[in-house]
Amino acid sequence: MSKLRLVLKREYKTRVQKKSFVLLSIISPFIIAGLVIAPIIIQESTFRQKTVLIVDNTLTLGNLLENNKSSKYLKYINMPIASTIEEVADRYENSKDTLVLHLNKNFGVVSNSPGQLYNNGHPGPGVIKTIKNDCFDLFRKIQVFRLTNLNLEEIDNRLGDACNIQYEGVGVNPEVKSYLSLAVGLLMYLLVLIYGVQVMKGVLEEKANRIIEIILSSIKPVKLMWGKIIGIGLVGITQFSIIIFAAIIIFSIVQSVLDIDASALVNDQIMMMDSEGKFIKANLPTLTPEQIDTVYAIEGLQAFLPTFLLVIPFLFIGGFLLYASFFAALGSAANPDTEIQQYILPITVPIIISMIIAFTIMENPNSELVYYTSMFPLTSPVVMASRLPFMNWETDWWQLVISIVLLFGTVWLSTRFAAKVYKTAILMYGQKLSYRNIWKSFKQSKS
Amino acid sequence: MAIKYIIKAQKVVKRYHNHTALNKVSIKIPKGSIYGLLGPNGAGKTTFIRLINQISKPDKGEILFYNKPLSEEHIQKIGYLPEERGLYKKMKVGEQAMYLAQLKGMSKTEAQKKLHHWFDKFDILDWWNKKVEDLSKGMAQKIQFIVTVVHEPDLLILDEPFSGFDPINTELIKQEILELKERGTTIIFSTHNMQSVEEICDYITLINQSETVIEGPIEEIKKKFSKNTFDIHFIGNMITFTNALWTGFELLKKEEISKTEFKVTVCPTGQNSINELIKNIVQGCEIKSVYESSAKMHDIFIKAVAESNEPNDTMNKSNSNE
Repeated sequence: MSKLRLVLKREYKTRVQKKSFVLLSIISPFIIAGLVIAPIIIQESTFRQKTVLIVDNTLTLGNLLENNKSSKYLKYINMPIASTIEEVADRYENSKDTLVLHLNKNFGVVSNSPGQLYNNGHPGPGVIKTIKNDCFDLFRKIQVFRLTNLNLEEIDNRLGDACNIQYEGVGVNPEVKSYLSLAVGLLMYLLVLIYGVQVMKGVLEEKANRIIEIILSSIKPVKLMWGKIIGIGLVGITQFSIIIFAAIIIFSIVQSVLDIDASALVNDQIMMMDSEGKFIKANLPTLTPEQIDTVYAIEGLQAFLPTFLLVIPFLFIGGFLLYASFFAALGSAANPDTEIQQYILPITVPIIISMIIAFTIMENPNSELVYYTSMFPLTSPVVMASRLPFMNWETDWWQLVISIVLLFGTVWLSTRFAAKVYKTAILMYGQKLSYRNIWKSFKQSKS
Repeated sequence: MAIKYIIKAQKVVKRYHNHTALNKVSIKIPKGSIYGLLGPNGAGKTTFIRLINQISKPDKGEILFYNKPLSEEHIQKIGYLPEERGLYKKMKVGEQAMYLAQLKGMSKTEAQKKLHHWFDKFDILDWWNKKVEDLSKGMAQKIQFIVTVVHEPDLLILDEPFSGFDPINTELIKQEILELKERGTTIIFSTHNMQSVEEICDYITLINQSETVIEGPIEEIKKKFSKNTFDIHFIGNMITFTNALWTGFELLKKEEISKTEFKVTVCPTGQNSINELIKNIVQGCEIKSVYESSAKMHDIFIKAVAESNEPNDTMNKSNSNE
């Protein structure tokens, strides 16, 4: 086995066998699952089935609420006009999930205030809001009915269930793009930073425990440095893949558990959008807004995945090598007992700035700042990754090529710089850590 | 023709940005010998060792290994135990030893076999699965020694190999070094422990201020530095003894053990034989022992370093006077 491979294997093996790596690999899919499922679970637990008993003073509208309800978690029961107050109170007092809606007699005619709502427990703002919306919806329909004399079913058809804005553009829904952009940018930022710092720590560890001289009597310093960088980079890619595949698996599970056919859903919507002017009631599954978001996210991810898998590795490898080489140089020049923190910050500034820019991409993906920083090698790994969901591949491919070529050109320079510094500085113990001394080590080193 | 020298360094110069670490150093290391590399701190020993290990390259001059310029293929023929040595703390002992042995070019099975042999020899097989952080310093030193020699190098470079060992383990390592020499391994031995140099080295080089000060077989060097003095242990009267010195000897040192027992050091003032003096002493004193006092490595070291510093000191003084 070649020496480079030996070093690489050790660096990789010791890290992936670490408890922290295993733990993070196990936990991160659950975190993703949590992020996806939590809103649904929260929804389920908050919206337990509630019964609304209607004491209908309008004498006509109480019956209509059950047919016009917007949530499956609510059941409207219109109490018989003849029912006594005791009968209502009896059902009401025995359950916290029962509410009483006292409809004003003027509601729907001259007043849009339905009346009073009673409950023994705490129904939560969501429940109250849903009941309020249902009542208001009914009120509007009644108003339309009074003006047009159309029957209620016709009004229902004309008003439709939801308002859809037809989006004309390339690719996925812009909202989904924004989330993807942010997620990809953040992932890239974290990976480059976490594993870059790991390289520095690895270099410093060998210097601190004084094994470095033993190792250097067997392998050239530059090979050792490369073995370390590639080994740790592979750890990053492994972690990254685990997260991505876990995310895909979890999305698929969520999809099958929810029993949603995402493509059918989208087709249904398109059908509805296509028939402009005609109010066709689309055959939409009853989904909460959170579930619909999940479906959109799955759709977005599926559409984005091929380009993502093609381009992201280049950006990650380039970005990682670029920053890892700076961190390796810093680690080699540092002394084990000196404060290194203050020297890390200037290296991380460009990547922090790129994350800040990545946040603005959601608002304005085509700004000049975004354009230039997605080309500039120190910021491109994060900014370009964040830009990816917004790019038009047919017209913008050349920007991607330029960005990656520039990035790898800089990587070539930075790794050469790091190798020179590393070679000279790794065996120096007495020297104070400063950028000047790092530069001196670079100048002193022979190619 | 058999190769006599394993290492031939020819006028090697190594400079760092603000000082010269080695200045035209030439050293020849005979094959199969134990070669002491001596010198005060900062003299350039470690720099020289690093050049042999190809950790750095000389600016000028050349180092030959078996008469060939040093190259990557020689790395696995050299074993190096640096003075400042450590191991990966979180890694298991066996795993780490395997890694370091394979880095020296051994195959996995070969490394496993040889390491088991050494671990068994040192009776430390049960450490194989322990983490290094659980070992004491002495225990870690044993592992370091093993990984230095496991690939059976032709040249072994030991920088202060006994530091951190108790006397029992020092003896164990010393025996191992001598055994390796028996098997034909050449050993470069860098230390400040002059007693161990006298005990095991065949040749020495003393480097001071980046230059070679003394080089050669240890016995010749000791002879060269010998002051032609004699230690005499006798029972009798000191006056009788001093009277006998008229035969042409000078009293250098006197140690009174009791009122009638003395240890003295004398040296001849001319070409006189020690026999003349003894003849005269025995008439009034009882001689217990007479030794020709040989120079100690410790004294040679101090004297040679002081002498080599002198011209520089003078130069420094004259410079400061200017």
